[in-house]
Amino acid sequence: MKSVILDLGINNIKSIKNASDKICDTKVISKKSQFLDSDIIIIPGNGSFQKGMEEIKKRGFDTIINEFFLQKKKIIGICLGLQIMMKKSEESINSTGLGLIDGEVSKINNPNLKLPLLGWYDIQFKNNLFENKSYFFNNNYSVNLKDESLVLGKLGNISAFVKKNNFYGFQFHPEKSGKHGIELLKKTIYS
Amino acid sequence: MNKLRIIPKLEVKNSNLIKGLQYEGLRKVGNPIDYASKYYDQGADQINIIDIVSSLYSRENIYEIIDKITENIFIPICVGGGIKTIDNIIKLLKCGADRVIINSEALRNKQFLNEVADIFGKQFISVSIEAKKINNDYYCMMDHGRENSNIKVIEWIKYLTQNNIGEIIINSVDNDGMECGYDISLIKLLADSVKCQVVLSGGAGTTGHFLEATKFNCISGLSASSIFHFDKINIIDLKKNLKQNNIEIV
Repeated sequence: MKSVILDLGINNIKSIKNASDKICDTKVISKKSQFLDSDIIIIPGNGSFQKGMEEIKKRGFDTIINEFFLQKKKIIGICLGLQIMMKKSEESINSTGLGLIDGEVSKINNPNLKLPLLGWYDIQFKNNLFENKSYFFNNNYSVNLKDESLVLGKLGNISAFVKKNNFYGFQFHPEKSGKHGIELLKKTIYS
Repeated sequence: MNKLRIIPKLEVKNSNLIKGLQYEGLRKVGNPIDYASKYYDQGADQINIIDIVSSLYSRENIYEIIDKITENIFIPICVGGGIKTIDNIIKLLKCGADRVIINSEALRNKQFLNEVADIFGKQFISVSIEAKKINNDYYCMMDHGRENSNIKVIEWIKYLTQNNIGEIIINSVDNDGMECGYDISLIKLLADSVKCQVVLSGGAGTTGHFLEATKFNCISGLSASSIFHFDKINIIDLKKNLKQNNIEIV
């Protein structure tokens, strides 16, 4: 199994690289021309929506993501890597997302939660997809999907895990969620 | 739904883990990489690493240490000490840091926080405050407690919360290393309604000190160093104890 991580230059690439290295053959690329072939692409998290989209376009990653998505090849999006799949975001109203999934990114609104989400929160997954445990979050925004049935993991009313075809989107950071986070990644890569 | 984070703080000088008293009289403790993996195995929720001399000397040591620590540790690693530029941050991210902790540069140049937020998002920044009591008022110190910014802690907190900074870490310079308990009067400078994440640091010496600090709603994390470094308590036992006292914890 081969995975390629798309480096946007504004992310902590190393954690996800180290985690993925433990699971499968992993490469990091910083522009489209370095892309040869892969079973999986990983879009890592962190960064503002606008900066993330700018970097994706500048590096030509939008074409790779589009292609993978349309051919139903596996994509793992983490945090911002999930959000950029939506049409737009409240964080950066002047930029548009890739729009491959019908939905929007908005500021989290839950009176029981302090913002940003920072730390460990319990997630409930549907159909026992992954372990219902605490995972590490660090975000102010989350995705709202038109088709709620694609949301297969939740933190209260917040979308924590989205699956569409072969796209796996995590709002939390499995690569930062300790040993069970690595297990979740492994399961995702080999599912 | 918010769970208390237990955060070991590792202060690093050159390649050594060090610990002082009230930010002075630093003594060597050991190798920071060994201590970080020990805390990971014990179930720490996050590790904060502060390079206490990087503002004075070269930063190369800290990059190397972070690079090694993040090879096998898969919890958040937050790094501070002498961060002045976007380039410093990008380099830390490349070494595997997840968030940055900023103190002195923010006090000198408020605009820096906006620059960082524009690129990395507001959720990404922790602002650290080194609070020292002078004539009955708390002041924000800079450069690892060496210099007074002459900005009052209460004013600085007001500014940071108005600007939606992701997290505020409040260190008590006076209680640092003293194991006399957290400085509770520092918590009282925060309105109970404070919306951002707040971590308290400096002075923990017993499990009771942790329990005492959790009574305040605004606290989302508790940081400590001496008691973990010198094996007075380990994180497994501490968490067990907190759980028995009905504290929400992972």
